Amino acid sequence: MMRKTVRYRRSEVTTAYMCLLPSLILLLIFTIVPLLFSIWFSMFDVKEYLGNTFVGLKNYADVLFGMQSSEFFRSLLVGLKYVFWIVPIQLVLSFLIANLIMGVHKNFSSIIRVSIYLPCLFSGIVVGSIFAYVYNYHGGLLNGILKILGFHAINWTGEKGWAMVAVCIAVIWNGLGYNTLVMLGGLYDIPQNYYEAAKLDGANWWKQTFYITIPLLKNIGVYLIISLVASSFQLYEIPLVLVGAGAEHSLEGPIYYLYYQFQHSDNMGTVYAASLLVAVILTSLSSVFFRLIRSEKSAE
Amino acid sequence: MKNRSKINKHSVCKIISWMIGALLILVGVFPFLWVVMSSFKPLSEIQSVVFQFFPKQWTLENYRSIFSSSSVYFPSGTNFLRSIVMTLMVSFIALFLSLTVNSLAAYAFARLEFPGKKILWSVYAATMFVPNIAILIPCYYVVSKIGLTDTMAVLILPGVTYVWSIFFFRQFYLGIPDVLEEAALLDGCSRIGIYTRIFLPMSKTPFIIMGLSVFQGFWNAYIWPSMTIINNTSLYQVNQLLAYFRNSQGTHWDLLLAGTVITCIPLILMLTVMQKYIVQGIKISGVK
Repeated sequence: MMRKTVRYRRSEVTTAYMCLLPSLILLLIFTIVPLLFSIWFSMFDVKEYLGNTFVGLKNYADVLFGMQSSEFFRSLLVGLKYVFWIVPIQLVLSFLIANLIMGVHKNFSSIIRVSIYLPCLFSGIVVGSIFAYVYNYHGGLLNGILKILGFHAINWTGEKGWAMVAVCIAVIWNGLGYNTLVMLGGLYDIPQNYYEAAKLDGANWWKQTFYITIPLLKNIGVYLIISLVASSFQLYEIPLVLVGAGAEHSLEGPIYYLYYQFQHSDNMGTVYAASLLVAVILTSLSSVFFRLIRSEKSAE
Repeated sequence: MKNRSKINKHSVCKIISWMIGALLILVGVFPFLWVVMSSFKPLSEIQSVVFQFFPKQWTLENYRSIFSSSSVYFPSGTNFLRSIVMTLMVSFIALFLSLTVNSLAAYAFARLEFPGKKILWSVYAATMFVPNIAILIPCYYVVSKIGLTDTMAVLILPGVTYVWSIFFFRQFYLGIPDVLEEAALLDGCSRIGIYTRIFLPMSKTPFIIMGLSVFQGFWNAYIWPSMTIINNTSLYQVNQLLAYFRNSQGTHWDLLLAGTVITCIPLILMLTVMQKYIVQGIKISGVK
């Protein structure tokens, strides 16, 4: 067979570049150049007035083993804690709720959908403010309920143990609607006759769920897990408003750390190094999940 | 006998699922409704020890004090009303630019042949995998070097190219039949003419879906504005002011609650008007 040579029409090529130009310029200036910049300057000692000196990988070593390394690792650990708590709860809850919505009457289900989607509209700052008030020691919703039930009031955002729980609840409230609707989309795409066939063979709800629903939701699951891991790891606004300085550093994830270093560090090189390290860790974390789920699929 | 127990089991299931459904509605809506109610309470009631849903004494005082420009609790030179107007302006300009820029790029990737297409597409796609956290600080460095800090441009431009949205539009354009385009080409229509006369009118739904999420993203922005808008207080974004009402010095509950409710209004309007599209959008974006 003859190799097909593509001949471009000149007018078409010009049009194409014209169409791409604006997006490409913005992408270059605000994504690609900063990324290359930070890779390059992470190898320099960047002093604001003294200029830059090349130090190789010293900045990375400083972040990992230097004076402030314990803060770096603590923030990573906090990020991982968020991932550990939020991702599974979010997945299970949204799966169950999506199943429930499938089962109820159409009008009722659309009310449920709208009301659980409402919190997804709000910014982290708004969610943080709403929950700051819900958790407020005096006049807060939760302590009010506890009081009615005859319990003592709890200082939700001030105590180390509760603060993490408090933040996770707010985050889950914020994201649940979106995840549920994505799950629901996946459930609607499963052909109904699979279930009918299973029913004829005598499979109960559990069996149908484990052998039909969950395997067929795998792609949705991968998508949700990766986006949830990224968003939980990079939590910033909700803990910021909700707890502030209340629970010391036990809620300050990687973005906190980077922001603090950005404001206080005298060598921006280490900040670039740290942000690249965090990004690499996050990306590899997501790819681990991706691999795990994909390999299971190919093993079948 | 057996039949009856089956029916009973079924109806019990139904009642339980109705109850859980009602609980979900409550959990979704109640905290916000309670904040709305509390924003009409006087400050003493907001912090009262006894829990109450409805205000005993309705007042608009909180809203009046948030809109009074002379409030001492604001960072100097800021004004809540102006920051709402500014945030709306930023969001709408960004919305317009983002839809234009990204749909043009998507059109080129979906329908035009040009050298370097594959390489460019993979560059675009690769940037989707770069987490925000890696860009945040170096991007600040770049915008401060080109002197964009404290301008409206810094709020808008970095978020305009949104590769995910190019992906989304491209997918949609790939589904539009070639025949239409060929007919238009035979009639002597230019490529850009095809985009404006055929593709644009057909892409109402994806434009609304993407537009909603772009608007939401800009209206809710906090961390980027708080890094880049510092001295020019007239550009303060709504969420920046909101976060200021609860800082390390303490919380101004009256301002915080009223401000929260006002910040939510555009978003809730959006949800009620565009409900159909939001659900559709999530379905498409989730399945990919």
